[in-house]
Amino acid sequence: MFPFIVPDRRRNADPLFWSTVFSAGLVLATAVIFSSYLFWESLPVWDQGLWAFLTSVEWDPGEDVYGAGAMIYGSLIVTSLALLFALPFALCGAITASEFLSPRARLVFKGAMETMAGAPGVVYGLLGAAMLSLWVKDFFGLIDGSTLFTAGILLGIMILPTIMTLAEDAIHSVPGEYRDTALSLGLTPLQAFFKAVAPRALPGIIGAVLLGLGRALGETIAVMLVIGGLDIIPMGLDLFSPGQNIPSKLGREAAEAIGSGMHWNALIALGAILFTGTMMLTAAGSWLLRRRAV
Amino acid sequence: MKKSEENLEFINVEITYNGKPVLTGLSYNFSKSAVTCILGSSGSGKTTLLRSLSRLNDRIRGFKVRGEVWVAGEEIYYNGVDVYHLRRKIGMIFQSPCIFPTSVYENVIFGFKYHHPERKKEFPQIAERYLKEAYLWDEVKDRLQKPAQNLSQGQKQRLSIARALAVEPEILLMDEPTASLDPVSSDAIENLIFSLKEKRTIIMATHNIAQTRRIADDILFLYDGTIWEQGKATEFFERPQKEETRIFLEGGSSSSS
Amino acid sequence: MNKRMLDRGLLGIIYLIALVGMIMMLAVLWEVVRRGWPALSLEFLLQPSSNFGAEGGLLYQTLGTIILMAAAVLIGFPIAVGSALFQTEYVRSEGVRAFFRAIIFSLNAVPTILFGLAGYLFFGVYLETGVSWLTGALILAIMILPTIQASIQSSIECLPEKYREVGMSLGMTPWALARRIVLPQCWHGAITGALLGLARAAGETAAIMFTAAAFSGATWPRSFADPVPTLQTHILVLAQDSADATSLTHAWGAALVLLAIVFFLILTSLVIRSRFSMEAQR
Repeated sequence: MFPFIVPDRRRNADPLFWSTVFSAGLVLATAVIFSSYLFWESLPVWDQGLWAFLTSVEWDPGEDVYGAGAMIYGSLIVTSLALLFALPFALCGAITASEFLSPRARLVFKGAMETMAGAPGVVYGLLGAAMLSLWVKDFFGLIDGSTLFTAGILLGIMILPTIMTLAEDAIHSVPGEYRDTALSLGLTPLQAFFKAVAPRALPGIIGAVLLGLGRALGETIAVMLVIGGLDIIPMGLDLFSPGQNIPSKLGREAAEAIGSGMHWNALIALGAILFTGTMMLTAAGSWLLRRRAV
Repeated sequence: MKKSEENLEFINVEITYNGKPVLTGLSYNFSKSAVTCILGSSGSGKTTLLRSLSRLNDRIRGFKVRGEVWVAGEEIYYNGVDVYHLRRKIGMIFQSPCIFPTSVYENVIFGFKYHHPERKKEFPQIAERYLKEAYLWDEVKDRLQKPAQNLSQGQKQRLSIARALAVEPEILLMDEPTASLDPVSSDAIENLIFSLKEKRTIIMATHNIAQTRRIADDILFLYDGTIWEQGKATEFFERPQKEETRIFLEGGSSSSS
Repeated sequence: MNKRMLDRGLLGIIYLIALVGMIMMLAVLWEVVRRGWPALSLEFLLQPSSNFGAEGGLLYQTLGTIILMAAAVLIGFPIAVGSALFQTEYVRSEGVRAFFRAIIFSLNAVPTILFGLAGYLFFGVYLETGVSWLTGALILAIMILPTIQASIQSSIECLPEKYREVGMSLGMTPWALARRIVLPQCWHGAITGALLGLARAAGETAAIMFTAAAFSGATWPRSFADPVPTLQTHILVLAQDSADATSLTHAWGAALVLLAIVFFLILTSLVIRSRFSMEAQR
């Protein structure tokens, strides 16, 4: 009846089978219920005009007016800043570790990076609130250090180890023959890397970056503590203004709006936008990462 | 329709993988208590044929078997067949020996322990009996509790034969059992096969012609996805009927080692 | 000659940037240790907090974090094992496996705050578990499910098919294969997964801050319906009004404890993983 399952007459008596079916079904149900809930609950907001919701900056639960513009803008700015900040360090670190470290040193380096990648967001948040935002304030002479810039840098530091270790995997998985061939033709190790290894590792590296971005886009706590929490799109490209991004907005208002009313629908709609964004980044990223072996 | 308990037979069998035929038009009745060698070049379907006899391809999607495969009085692709019971009656030895990362002792009784957990007292005797039957006892009796991974490749292969024998199969399938072994270990396995065939039906896939000459009673020559030639070993080697068979035998004997 | 120089220079720059990156990571660690260390003492670890976190210790916060993460793994682990075994032992279609893999990947990428929102509504409101540690544990269990399952599944998929085939040729059922062949050789994947799951649950704040955690007053839970204080939310609250110097010191102390728990779990899992992947290569 189910050709994708191994045929077996005694299956009904197999205690393992039904419990695994149950577990797999539970996982499936969770995914389906979860994603359909996000889109179902945000329907009332789409009904009032999708475009208006996406572009309007006005968010006032008192008047039941909701616009996601500021949060979307904030998310884009903060994530791009994080990427710009993290990328050079992550790539140079990955190249160094994969091409120029001894196997033992590489293992230690990888271990350290994978451990750092698991550090809780709230610890970064504390660092941001108690140190980074003060530095930003003093250094740039601002009234308040909680800005889009601060959030971007903090997120950059946070996703650095993730991108570094994934990019390193991508570089390291390029077969040694490419390096050996290039070296035997008289290229220096660095040239060999750029000419022979990097082109083959590129999809994987991009995949690593996208996965890191996905993580940055969804991070809540660290950003919430340093972004300033003002729903505005600052004039020009002023990075040193307080702002708001989607997770931070959700974190701040979820508790008061929970469960009912347009306010809740609007928050879930924000969540659906966030979900779509992270899914696209992650899907593209993991596709590229898996492709690298070819 | 019921067949005799000892019957092992293909009736007009076709095996396809993802719609592409691997083997077609198979009809053959295997002799009991004899060694039947399946000859053929790589990719001629020898392994597929062996595996189809104990339904080992069930886990791979896309394999389809049409026609009738009769094992010990049962058509084994019929829906109601108990595939675990079937596999107990059919032992399989793989090309490269596969040893579990435990002791020699645990490896021998692995299958027996699963089927007869209550006969705990007999485990040591069973281990001894089948290690002896596989001519391995003298070499390992002092290190039964040592990791089996330290045995030589040939010893590992005999250990996996002992492990299969302990489940008391009536039929033993061997997929190029000596392909990954040195000549000395190979000889040991051949001798073992000689002694095993008295009580069991053995079907062995191989492309080693010299070995086939030494041990085969019957021969099945696969070519182009079907049974090209079949018969008693003596006749087969003396008077090959077809051109392709002769080419295979000549090419094989000049390069066989 | 000139080319050589250029090459050297470029390499130097790459090393330098990599080094700065490393120093940045180390600085993060160093700052947490440097600022958290003065707060640490036996009393700090063993006393309840008082005066809104400005005085006392972290006893119930640590306890709350441990309760939440342990409960989450207890709920999530069996489901992860089951769902991994379903795919490796029973499903034989590559397409169906790829579909499940995609689902696990997607669940893994979902921003945790969204689990908090949807999970609270589903468990807290519909199933009436309210703001409680049970709600938090259920949400965290879903959150860490993909982590655990991915780890188990990748270790099972590394097991060569030939082991399974030997078991099959001896007449074993899938249940016997799983119990006698697959799990004995892949348990390290399950342990690694469980440890990583614990670490993720311990470090998670967004999903529990409005679903399971209480700030002050709460001690250990007396029923399923009680919220618990946790290290994560404690740090969050103290960091939000970071004016008071003593509460800030306490926040750093809590951060150090939390970091120590998380790092211990991750490092243990890394050690187990590297030890067993080396053994498999031999």
